[in-house]
Amino acid sequence: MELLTDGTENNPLLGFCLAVISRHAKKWPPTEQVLADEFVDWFGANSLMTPTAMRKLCGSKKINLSFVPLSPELHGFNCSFRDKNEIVISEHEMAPFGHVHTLFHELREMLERTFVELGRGTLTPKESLEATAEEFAMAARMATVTRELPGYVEMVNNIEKNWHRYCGYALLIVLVLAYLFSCVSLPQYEDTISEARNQRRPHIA
Amino acid sequence: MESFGSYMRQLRKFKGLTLKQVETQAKVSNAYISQIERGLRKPPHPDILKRLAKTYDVPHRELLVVAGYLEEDSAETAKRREIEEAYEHVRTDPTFKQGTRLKGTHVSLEMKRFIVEMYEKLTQRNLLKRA
Repeated sequence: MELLTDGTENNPLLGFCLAVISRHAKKWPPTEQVLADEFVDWFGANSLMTPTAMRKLCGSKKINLSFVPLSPELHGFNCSFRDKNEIVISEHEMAPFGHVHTLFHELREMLERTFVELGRGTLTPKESLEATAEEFAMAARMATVTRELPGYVEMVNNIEKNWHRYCGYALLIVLVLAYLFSCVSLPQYEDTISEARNQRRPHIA
Repeated sequence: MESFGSYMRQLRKFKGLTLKQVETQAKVSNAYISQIERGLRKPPHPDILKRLAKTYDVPHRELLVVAGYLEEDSAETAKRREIEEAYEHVRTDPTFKQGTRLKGTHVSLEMKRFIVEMYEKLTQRNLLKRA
């Protein structure tokens, strides 16, 4: 007996895109923030993912993720062929959480391709996918920390000694603000690093 | 000399430098660079190219080849052509979709080779000759 399927079991990205389209059909396209919130829930990403955790999450969505040395200008690369999806991230990401940012960027590009294939592209001809993917990556990283925040607050709430708890709140606020700042400032930080690296690099004629 | 000029302009734009900034860094008059870029002057002396190569962060040899002072090695030329052709094939294959997170817009030969190799891996097709 032949089972009828919609083809999404081998392509979870397609399944996600179909679900997003059905939820937001009336107000299409969704903003990057809305898309990022939906994506983070579906993908199960968290704010402090290690490369191993990222590989495992991608694997669960049938995406092969690898970390290899790439030329300094290239942070990441994604490609799809038939039902194969592949993401490569530079081993030499210098900025903290740069790997996570690049992963979200690459995934946003893959999502857009799927939306376009489904006749539901989210970009106008004037909008650049590169810039939109950067915006999405920032929004997705912020969404991860927003999702985790109640858990951290709960943890701090459970501290018995008052002054320990106050210190906990203060530390939590500082860490969350620092993380949020790192989300928005990462591209500029990368530019600064790459400029400094170019100036330091000895010139070989 | 228009192609040399446009190549030099591309390099400067890629680095995001103004003519004034190049003048300061390479110690070459901005009016002279502008004339070179517009194809009004012949490629400059190799010593000046050396300073410009440093400013634009490209190998001196590359500028000497583009300026016509040096012949590109024939094996090197063949390899470059092979990668360029393979990359063009990859870029225009509608069944293969790709994207990058890239600083700037310049896709170097090294990147093109990497993209071709990824294509080969996913599609199980061979585009580049192996040594």
